[in-house]
Amino acid sequence: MALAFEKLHWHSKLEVAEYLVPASLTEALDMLASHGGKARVIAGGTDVIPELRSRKLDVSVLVDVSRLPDMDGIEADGDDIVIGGGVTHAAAAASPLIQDKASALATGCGWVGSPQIRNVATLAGNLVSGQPAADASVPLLALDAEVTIASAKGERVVPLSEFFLGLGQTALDPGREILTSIRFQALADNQGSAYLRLAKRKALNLPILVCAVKATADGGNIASAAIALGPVAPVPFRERAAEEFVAGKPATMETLTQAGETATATCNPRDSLLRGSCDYRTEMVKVFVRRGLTAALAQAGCTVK
Amino acid sequence: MQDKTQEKTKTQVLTREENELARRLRTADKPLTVAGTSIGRRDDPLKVTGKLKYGADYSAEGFLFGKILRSPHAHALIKSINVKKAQELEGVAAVLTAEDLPGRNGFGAIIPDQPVICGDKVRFVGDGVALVAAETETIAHQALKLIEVEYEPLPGIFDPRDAMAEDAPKIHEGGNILSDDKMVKGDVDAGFAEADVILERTYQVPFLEHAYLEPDTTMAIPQPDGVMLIEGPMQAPFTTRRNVAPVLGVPINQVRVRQIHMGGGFGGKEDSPIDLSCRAAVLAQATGRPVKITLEREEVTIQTAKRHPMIMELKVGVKKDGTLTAFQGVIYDEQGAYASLGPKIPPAGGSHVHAMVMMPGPYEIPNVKVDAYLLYTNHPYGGAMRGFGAPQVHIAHEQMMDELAAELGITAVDIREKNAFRLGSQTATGQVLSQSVGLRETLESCADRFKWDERLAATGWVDQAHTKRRGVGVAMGWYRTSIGTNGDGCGAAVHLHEDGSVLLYSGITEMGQGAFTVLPQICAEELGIMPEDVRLVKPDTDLVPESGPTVGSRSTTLMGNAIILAARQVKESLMDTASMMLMVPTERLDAKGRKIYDRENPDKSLDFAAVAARAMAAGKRMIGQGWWTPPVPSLDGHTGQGSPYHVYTYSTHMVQVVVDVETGEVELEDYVAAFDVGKAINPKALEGQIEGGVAMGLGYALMEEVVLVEGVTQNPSLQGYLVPTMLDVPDIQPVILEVTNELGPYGAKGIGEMPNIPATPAIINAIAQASNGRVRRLPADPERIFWAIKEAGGPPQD
Ligand SMILES: Cc1cc2nc3c(=O)[nH]c(=O)nc-3n(C[C@H](O)[C@H](O)[C@H](O)COP(=O)(O)OP(=O)(O)OC[C@H]3O[C@@H](n4cnc5c(N)ncnc54)[C@H](O)[C@@H]3O)c2cc1C
Repeated sequence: MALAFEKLHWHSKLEVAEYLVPASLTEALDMLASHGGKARVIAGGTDVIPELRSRKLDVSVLVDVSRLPDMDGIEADGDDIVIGGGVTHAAAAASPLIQDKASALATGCGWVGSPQIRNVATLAGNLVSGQPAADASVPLLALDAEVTIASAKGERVVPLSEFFLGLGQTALDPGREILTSIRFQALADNQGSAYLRLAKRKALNLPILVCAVKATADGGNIASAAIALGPVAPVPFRERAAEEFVAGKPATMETLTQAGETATATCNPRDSLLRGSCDYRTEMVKVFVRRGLTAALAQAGCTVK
Repeated sequence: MQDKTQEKTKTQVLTREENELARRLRTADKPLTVAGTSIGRRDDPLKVTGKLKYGADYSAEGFLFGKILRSPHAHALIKSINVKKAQELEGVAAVLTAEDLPGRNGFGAIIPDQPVICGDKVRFVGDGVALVAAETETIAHQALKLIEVEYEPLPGIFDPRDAMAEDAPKIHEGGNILSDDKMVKGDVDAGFAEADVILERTYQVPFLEHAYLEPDTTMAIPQPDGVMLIEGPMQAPFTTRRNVAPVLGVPINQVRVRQIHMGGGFGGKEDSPIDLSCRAAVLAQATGRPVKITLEREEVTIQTAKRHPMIMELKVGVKKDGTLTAFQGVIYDEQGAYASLGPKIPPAGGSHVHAMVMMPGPYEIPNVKVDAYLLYTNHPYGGAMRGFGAPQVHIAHEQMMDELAAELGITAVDIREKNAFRLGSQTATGQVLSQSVGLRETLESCADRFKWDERLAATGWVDQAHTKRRGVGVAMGWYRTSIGTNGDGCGAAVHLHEDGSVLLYSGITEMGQGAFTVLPQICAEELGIMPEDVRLVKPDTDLVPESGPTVGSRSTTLMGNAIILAARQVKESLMDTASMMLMVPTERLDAKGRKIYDRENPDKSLDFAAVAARAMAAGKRMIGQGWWTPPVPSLDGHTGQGSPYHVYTYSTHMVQVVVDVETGEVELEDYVAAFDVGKAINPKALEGQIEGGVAMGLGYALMEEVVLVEGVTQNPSLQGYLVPTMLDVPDIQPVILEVTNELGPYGAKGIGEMPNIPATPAIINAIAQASNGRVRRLPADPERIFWAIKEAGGPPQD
């Protein structure tokens, strides 16, 4: 094995020719359009800047969307919650609405990096970076969120189930498009959510495993559940087999334990020198699916027997 | 909690040599005014306001950027190297290969076995094969890419045990065994025959990176008079100078080394600055221009020294009542590619010998045998890291003590109480501990503060679902003051001025440990003035006396003594002068709070400054020079018997943890760490050392590891190499005990390294106590804890 040192190199100077700060969404989209896909959106910059420094990303124009008006709202809209494309993890984690009606997301955003990172990094950036264990993406996937994407051509709405295409790849083209909002259903009284995270230290870490669950209770039964896991695939992963298994079953420890076993048949964590072995992470999938369901059901007012 | 043990401090069994030194020093009973108080750290205001300049903050205007072309192979012959294209690149000032070097092509803190530029072969991934100096960083990088090197890869050695095989590839010409040391006391076979229980265990620890926040940086600046000036953050300016001079082929006095305030060192900046300084200096000499080399984070991890990994095999015998009868140990101490600070400097210097001596722990054991091998491999090299071989062996013996206790059905505290050193105990090297032995006191007061008995009784399940268990752990430790070589002397100079202000010249460096605060404090105490009256001259080999390196927890203790001796020379001038001015005999005079006064009639006093002015006018000596050499160490080369270090710091740590037995996650809930430090010169700064040290030991226990695959570092950045964050570190309660060291300034012993040492095994022991999961191969990350619990057949069920 030989080491490619060039790939490790970290450039102290950024070679960015232009840094544009648009005043409106239309102006931002125009700027992107006029560079024909060669410009790049930057929000908190916590993914973009490291990629520029390591030259993994090669663009010469940045369009800063962090100061666009009307992008930083967190609002209830009927049964839905709508989060603006510029909302930071710190704002989401501290929002009483999200804490109350989407606690898995508040917990996930609260886990991101450190206070400094959370103060600037956005949920939109987290989604667009397309990482399989991203701490806002995984709960948003379990919450069945959809995103609104604007471009010079107009607007489109994409559910997250169709958004993540591959490692670092999404349905959004950050050279031409802007994610303007995120929408999902607020939790009803008979619903609960949970977010669990396993790592080697308590902040600023690569997760060994994350798991987000949204559960709907029907008396002592599980009406339905959404279970999202990462990193067990190139993209944030919906554990459909376990979801189907628990739907309509009584909320017992036995059901949940079996759901965990079911999950290990379909999701597939790999051996990783830094995150842990496949065997261990498979064991953790069982624990997390069981615990995630238990916690989400408890929030829905249903105690697991 | 201070001075609790004062009663016990009086019993002494000093040797004649120690007695003479103690008489010369006679500070232990001095009533203190300035030393012993928690004055603020001098560099703190500059640090918190961002004004302090670290190495990378110095302007690189006019400097060439130095870069190192590194070997991508762990072990290979260099068949050819072609630098022509790189040399022709616009903006490149020099490209150097081994052939271009003016002097010795080798450096090293102990033996110069590391090439400045590899000529015929490379020995680890990261070894330097060419040096580039260019106008910009970008050009320097382009130049690296244009150098063509043809390698012939050789089989590598990645396990130290493989290095010992007859047919193993030879990494260095002299073979792969760098040192083979033995320590034999009594008769282990007889000891095992007496034992009721014998356990055999193997413990293993990985390479650790210091992860100091400040990446290494060095500037080499040729001076008009031909002198080479080296500036950079470093712990050992004199060792650096000793290496740069022969590499440049010039006498030592043609090299001047200045230290820049360090952003963390932890032992790592003892030898990485030697490496960078030699390389920057040859580039500066070749181009006649100043050269700056700053390592990137990934380069720091790949290139610089690490904590030595060790595989430690233990066999220990114990009687039913917990009395140890025999200890047998083997250490496979992995040196990596180059000798760095591993090998022996007779009689007892170098990290390897230190590890061997400390291996049986702070316990009375009549029969001991340790075989310690220091082995070259094709990995990065091991150097100094906060504890110099001691943290590793503590992880072994402290776990073994717990495993023995569990086997015997006694508590972890009982077995330690049974065997712990006391005054007059004989160590495994046959050394009789003649003074300042507060180990048992630390155990007592730690247990007291922690409420060990209550907490031990309360361990068990935390939740109804039986997913989490609470447990407690204890570990003890000892650590030397000084470095065990014959040349461990240390010089200081004190320059008194006519207005009473003082310049203090010391070569001890500041890396966050507080030396620049504590050393002036000692100087002020001795002269009877205030700390702010003393300005410390920053380490500069042209100005300050040789002080040795800033390592081995020796700064306060050894340099403190040198300062006291230097200060006394000018104090004599002051007292003579004051005696004449007051018409009082010198024996009756004392100095305190900027006054010199008659002890029998304190109203009869003079201002310190007035006396200084008169002394100056009278032509009295205004410059004092102090030199302190600790008692001569000894260690027999064959038996490992002798007195390797003159005094030890002692400690006991206790910790409470909660283990998630389903995932292996650990939460530290409470922590008490007790120390016998001899004397706390600055209690607050001392507490800082304790908190930082415990955090570091926690990292070793739970998360730190340089992951290597066939010699290639897998986690060179701080994203992959994890050190603890604020959230991982529990509240740490320090307990400070003072069992006077007759050979230290005002009774002090070293503290810099001790705090991280027992922390690691205390945490590992608590995890095992809580969950049955005993992790014998560190780090105990969640996965390893999970499997250890499985292997033990699950957590306790009570
Ligand atoms: C020290 C550190 C720790 C971190 N820890 C974590 C962690 O614990 N968990 C975690 O999930 N992540 C973590 N990250 C990654 C990162 O912080 C998150 O992914 C963050 O949410 C990215 O948001 P941002 O606003 O900084 O995105 P940026 O870096 O500005 O952008 C990221 C990507 O999104 C695109 N983009 C951003 N906003 C928009 C938009 N409105 N429309 C279209 N495209 C857009 C950009 O073009 C880019 O491709 C960490 C990063 C750092 C540096």
